[in-house]
This record gives sequence, structure tokens and C-alpha cells, in this order.
Amino acid sequence: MLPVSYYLIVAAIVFCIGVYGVMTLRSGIMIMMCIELMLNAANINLIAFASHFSQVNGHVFVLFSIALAAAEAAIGFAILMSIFRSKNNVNIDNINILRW
Amino acid sequence: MEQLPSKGWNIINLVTALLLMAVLVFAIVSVVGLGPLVPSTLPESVPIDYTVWEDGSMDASGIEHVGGLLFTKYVIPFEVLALILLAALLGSLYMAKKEDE
Amino acid sequence: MAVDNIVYLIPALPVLAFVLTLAFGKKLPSGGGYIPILAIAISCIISILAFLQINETGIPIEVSAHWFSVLNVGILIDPLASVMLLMVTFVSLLIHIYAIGYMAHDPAKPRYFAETALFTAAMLGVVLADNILQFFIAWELVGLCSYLLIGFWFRKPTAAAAGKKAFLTTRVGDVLFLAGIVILFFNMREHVLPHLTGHETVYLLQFSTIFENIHHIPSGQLTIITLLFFGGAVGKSGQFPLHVWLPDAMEGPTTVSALIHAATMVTAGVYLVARTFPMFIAAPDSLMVVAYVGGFTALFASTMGLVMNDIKRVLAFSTISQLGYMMLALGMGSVIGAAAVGFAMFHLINHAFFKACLFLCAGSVIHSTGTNDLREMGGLMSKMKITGITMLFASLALAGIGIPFINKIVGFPVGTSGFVSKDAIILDATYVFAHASHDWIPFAFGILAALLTAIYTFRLWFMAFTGKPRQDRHPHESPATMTGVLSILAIFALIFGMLTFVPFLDFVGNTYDPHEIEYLAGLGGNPLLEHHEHGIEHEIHHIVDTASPIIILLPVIAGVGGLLLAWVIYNRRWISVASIGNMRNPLFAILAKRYYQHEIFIELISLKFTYGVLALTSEFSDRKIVDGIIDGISSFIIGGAEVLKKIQTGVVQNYATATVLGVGLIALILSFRGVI
Repeated sequence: MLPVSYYLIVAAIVFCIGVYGVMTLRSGIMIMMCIELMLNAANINLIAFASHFSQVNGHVFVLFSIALAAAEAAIGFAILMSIFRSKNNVNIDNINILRW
Repeated sequence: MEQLPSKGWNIINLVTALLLMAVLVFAIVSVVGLGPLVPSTLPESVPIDYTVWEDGSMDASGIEHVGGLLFTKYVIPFEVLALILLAALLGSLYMAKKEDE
Repeated sequence: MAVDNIVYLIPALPVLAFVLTLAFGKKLPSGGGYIPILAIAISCIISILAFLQINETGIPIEVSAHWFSVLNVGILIDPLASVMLLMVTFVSLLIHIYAIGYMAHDPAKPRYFAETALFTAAMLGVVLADNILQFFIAWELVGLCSYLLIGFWFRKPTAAAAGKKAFLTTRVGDVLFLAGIVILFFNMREHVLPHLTGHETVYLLQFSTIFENIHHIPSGQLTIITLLFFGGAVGKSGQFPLHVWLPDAMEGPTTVSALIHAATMVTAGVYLVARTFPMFIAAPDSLMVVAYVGGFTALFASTMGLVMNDIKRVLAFSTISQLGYMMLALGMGSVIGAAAVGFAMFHLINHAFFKACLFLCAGSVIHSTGTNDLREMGGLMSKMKITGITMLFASLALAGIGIPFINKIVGFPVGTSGFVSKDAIILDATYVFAHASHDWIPFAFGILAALLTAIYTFRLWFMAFTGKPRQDRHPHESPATMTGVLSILAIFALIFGMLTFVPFLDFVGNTYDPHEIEYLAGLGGNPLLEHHEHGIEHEIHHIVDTASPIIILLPVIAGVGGLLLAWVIYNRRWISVASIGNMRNPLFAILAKRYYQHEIFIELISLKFTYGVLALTSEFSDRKIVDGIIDGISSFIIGGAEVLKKIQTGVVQNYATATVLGVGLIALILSFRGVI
């Protein structure tokens, strides 16, 4: 097995890519995808530590995490549908009424 | 569609993400170390827990243990998760539905 | 002691009269004027009883009650206070009777009588006070009543302005007086109270306590205190430079001028210095200041009285001048000791009689001719005999006409009461002072002022009563209430001085113990006359008796000379008035413009300097600088906020950026602290 730090660093890189995407991308759907990226990075972390210590708890936790990610994505897309209905596009940076 | 100062923010976002990565890598390296690790807590002589199926194949994924834990120790979160999925389903259905005239 | 129980009624009855007249005056005949007359008459009777008791027993009447802490409320009647009481009640009574006739046509009579009753009560409070704080309270009340009475016809703008000017000018003096009291109190508490613990309750501001303990107070402080007290007296008695309110105060009714500005209120300043005389004599140099200010005022005011055309203003300047004489006499106490108090008070009382008589005669003249201007009067003698004769007697008294040298034969001086008292001041006080200290300036002040006094007094009499009538005014004699009072006062003006000179000085001289005065004079470095066994009065008589006859004749020469000069100019018209008395003559112009004091005090000092420089500068710095700083701080903060608020862009992703930055920072900090 590889040293666990490699897996952790990979997870960190994926997480940072997801963070960058959430901060920068204009389209709502792309933001949802980046959120999924971040969640998956966390899952990689969990699996890496679970395998390194030969425990099964981490795997169970990952199952729950995936299921929750799915539920959250469903809600998120429903919200995007509402936004699309009112503005006819899903550009998140147009929603800025609470500004100075 | 109004133009926001997206160029400035893009740079800030990039820098932020890179800084975050630097911090995370630094944290990982300072705690766990890089390269070959200190020996794992399990000595080599401890066998990996292989599961043997009826047809003789061996499985090191530990999925049998996952199932066992899922329905004994973590059964309540499992049930709650089911409810969460139900709620999410209903909620998204309601929000995404076409509005009646 | 029978009278001790009722002395509190002396000021209390006029207060009661004030309240009753104010409440019921409208419904009573003569505007309720008889209530104050009755009250003051009873006060006069009680004062006479008190005087008789003190004269008999020689013990002053003291009544005192505890107020709070180290202060008390009380009445002190010693010889000084009792003569003042008699004068105040008697003159006030006469003037009230006169006012019944004079104010007969005035619709606001109840207010007049109420205010004069209150004034009399306040003045009696000043005279009777046994501690300096009570003195000050009554003093202030006197000032208030003066303001009310000067501005009695308040709808006339000049009268209202005159009342305000009087109050504000005397206020300057009052502030100085109060400062003196405060400094005195602190000194008493610091230096005297340690020596007095263990006795029964001590009243720090009571006169007897102060006088017994003067030697504990440092003399530098004592000088400051007495000079501040004198500042109060300068304001109230119209000495230079706070004399400017007295001529304007003639806007009030003539009876007010007679009561307040001849007999009572303005003499409160002299009474203050007389009352605190032990402090003055124990303080180095204070008495010299008093003497010089008084002497200068005497001369200064008499120069201005020469050119006034309003009959009452001549008398106003005359009052200022005579008050200067009284202060001059008190100042001579540095050499002649407590006898100075006697001389000053004697002149005060005589002055009250003849000046009140002069003012009331002037009131009678104004009442009948309807004008104040001397240039419009003339030849009144034929129509107003009683007024003319009484005014002549009073003028003789003011000018100090009398017969010198007879006193060596007869034992008492012969002449009008003004002659007796002014001669006493000029010879017994200023000449003795000059003889002992070789400082002839007070004597010169006295003589010159006497000359000028005689000139303007008889100028007034000749212009008003002799010659051809200048205007056709149908003058008539005044009613009996008025002429009766005039006659009484004129008789007093003639003979009071003669008859009471020696006993008065003996009586008032007992107010202060000569040995104590000697000791205090030593403290203050005042060169009292050396006297070997017989007392200072004996020494004074010795010096005057051995003076050259010219010196003794000088006051009489001044008086008679002034009379003749006025006769020549204004009666016989051998010298034309118009040739010297016109504005082209620079001397006349200065006097007529009253030495430009209005211009100096008001235009220059108050408007240009105080308002223009001080007030506007303060206002500028307050508005621009102080407010500018405040506004600057707030606009700086608002500007900063304008810049910083651009962070809230409303775009959620930017907030996500900020969140991520924060998380990274936290992770960094935690990893350094060893948590991660």
C-alpha cells in the first residue's frame, strides 16, 4: 500500500479544485458539480484512513455520505429549477440584491 | 446580464484556492509526514482480514463487515437516512413541480 | 432688657407692610400708603427705645439664633447701628409721608409703596445685621429694590435702561464683596477656628468673632479682603469708577431719588466700611486706598455737577461727591483711629437730612413746573416761598456755610449741619492727617471739592428761584403734606449738626474700644497719633486748635467764595454764562460729556473689546474648531464606511471566497498551535 499521505494529498487537491470551482463558476449546475467534487474528496479521505487502519467504520460513514450527497443534490437542483423559472437562466452572480 | 468585476475576483479566487491547498498540504505533511510512513500500527504478521465466499474466492474489501455494521451498530442512522431520502424526494418534487395557473 | 425682645420687629414690620400693601393696596385710599407709614413709624419708635437703652447702659443689643453649621442669624445694635437706624427710619418715614402727596396722581401707587416698604425693610436688615453674610443678603435685597424703584415707570425706555444699568453696575461691586466674604470665610476657618474649638458654638462670620480674632488672619489676606469689601462699597456708594449708575438713576420718581440715592442705599457702602473698620485698620494700605478713591471721587463728581442742566442730575453728582467725602473721612482713620468712623457717620446723617430735603424740594419744583430742566425755571421764589426757603437752608448746609472760631468760645460749632460735618472732615480729619503724615493731597481734595460744591449748589438755587421766569409755567406751591416734610427736614439741616456734634462723636466713638483699635492699627502699620493719656479726640482737638487761622478759615472761604461766585454769574450776570458755558470751550465740553465715560466704558471696553475681541473669538473657536473636530471625526468615519461597504457585493460566491479564506486561516493557526 501507498503511504496514506499520498491519498490525503490527492484528496486535498481535489478539494481545492472543487473550492475554486464553487468560487468562480457562473452557472448553477457547474457549482453543483463542484460541490459533489468536494464531497468526494472528503470521502477519499475517509476511505484512505479506514484502509490504513483496517477498520470498517470509515466505509460505513462513506456510504452515508454518498447517500446524503445525493439527497442534497436533488434539493439543489430543485432550487435551481425555481431560479430558472424566475430568471430564465441559472447565472448565480445575478442574484445580488442584498448588496451595498 | 450585468458585468461584474469578474477578472479581479477570478484572481482572488485562484489565489484563495492555492493558499487553501498550501495550508492543507502543510497540515497533512506536518502531521502525517511524507513518503514512507512510520510503520503502521499493525505488524506485518497480522493477516489482512480476508473474507472467504462459498465458492472459495477471497475478498479483501470487507463488504461483509460493512453490511454487518450497517444493520447492527449503525441501524438507526440507516433508518434516519431513509427518512432523509424520502424527505429530499418529496421536497424536490414539490419545489420543481410546474405551477398551476 | 426689654427692647431686645422686640428689635426683630424693626425690619419685620416693613416686610409685613410690603406684603399687605401689595395685596390690598388697590382697595385702600392713597394706594395703601398708610400701611408702610404706620409700620415705619412703629419701627422708628422701637429704634428710639433701643437708642435710649444703649445710651443709658452702654451695652450693645445682641440677639442671635443658630442657622446652620457655623452661621447664625442675628441682630446687633451698637452705637453705630443705632444712629443709622434712627436716621433710616426717620428719613424713610418723612419721605413716605411726602410721597403720599407727590405720587397722588400715579396709578401704580400700591406697587410704589410696597417696593419702598420692602426697600426700607432691606436697608434696616443691612443696618441691623450682626454677621457679614446676613449683611450681604440684605445688601443684595437693597440692590434689587433699587432696580425696581429706579425702573418704576418701566414703560419709559430710559427708565428701564437706567434700572438695568444701576443693577448691573452695583452687581460688579457685589461680586467683589462676595469674593471678599468667601476669602474671609476660608481664612476664618483655617486660621481662627483652630483657636476656638472647645467653646460653645462658634459663628465664623459674626462681626464680634471676626473682630476678636483679626490678629490670627495674615495681613496680606486681610488687605485683599478689605479691598474687596471696599469694591462692594464702591459699587453701592457710587465711587469712581462705578459711579456711572447714579446720574442715570434719576429717571425714577424724585421721592425714590431722595430715599435711595440720598439717604439710605448709597450710604450702605459707607456703613459697610464703618462696620468693618477694625478690619480696615488692621490691614496695611487699605485705608489709604479708601481715602484716595473717596477724595478723588469727591473732586471728580463735583466738577461734573457744574455743568448739568437737569436739576436732579446736579443733585446726583452732589451725592456722589458727598459720599466721596465720607469715604475720605473713613480713610483718615489710619491716623486718627476710630474717630474717623464718628466723623464719617456724622456727615452721613447730616447729609441724609439736607440731601433728602434738596431732593424733595426739587421734587416739589418739578411737580409744580412740570419740567426738570434748570434752563426753563426761574423766579420761582415769589410763587413757592416755602420750597424756596427750605431749599435755601438745605443749600447752605450742602455748601457748608457757617461761622468759624466761635466753637472755641461757645463749646460747640455754630453753623448749618453741613458746615459742622464738613468742617469736621476737612479740619479734624484731613488736616490732622496732613499734619501727621505730611500728605496734603486729601486736604486739597477736600477744599477744592468744597469750593466746587458751593458753586454748583448755588448755581442751582439761583437759576431755579431767582431772576426772571424763563418760561411761562404757572408754578404753584405744593400741598401741605409735602411742604410740612420739607420744613422738618430743613430745620434738621440747619440745627442738627450744631446741637449734636459733641455728644454724637462721643456716642459713636464708643463703638470701638480705643485700645483695641490701637493694637489693630499697630498690626496694619497705620501710624496712629501718639496720645499720652487723654485719648485721640483730645489730641485731634489739640492739633486743630493750634493750627494756623488760615487753615481753619479755608473751608469757610471755599464755601462762601463759591456762593459769591455763583451769585455773580447766575444772579447778577456780571459774567455771562454763555461765554464760558458753551461747547466751544474745551473744558466745558469735557465736563458736559462727563469726561467721555460713556464712550470709554460702553463703546470701547464693552462693545469693541469684550464683545468684538473676546466674545467673537470664543464663538469662532467654539464653532469652527471644536465643532470642526467633531464633524471631521464623523465625516472621516463615514468616508471610511463608504469605502468598506463595497465588500458586500451581494454575490454569494464572493462570500464563499471569504469563508474559504477564513477557514484556511483557522487551519493555519490551529496547525501551529498543535491541535491539528
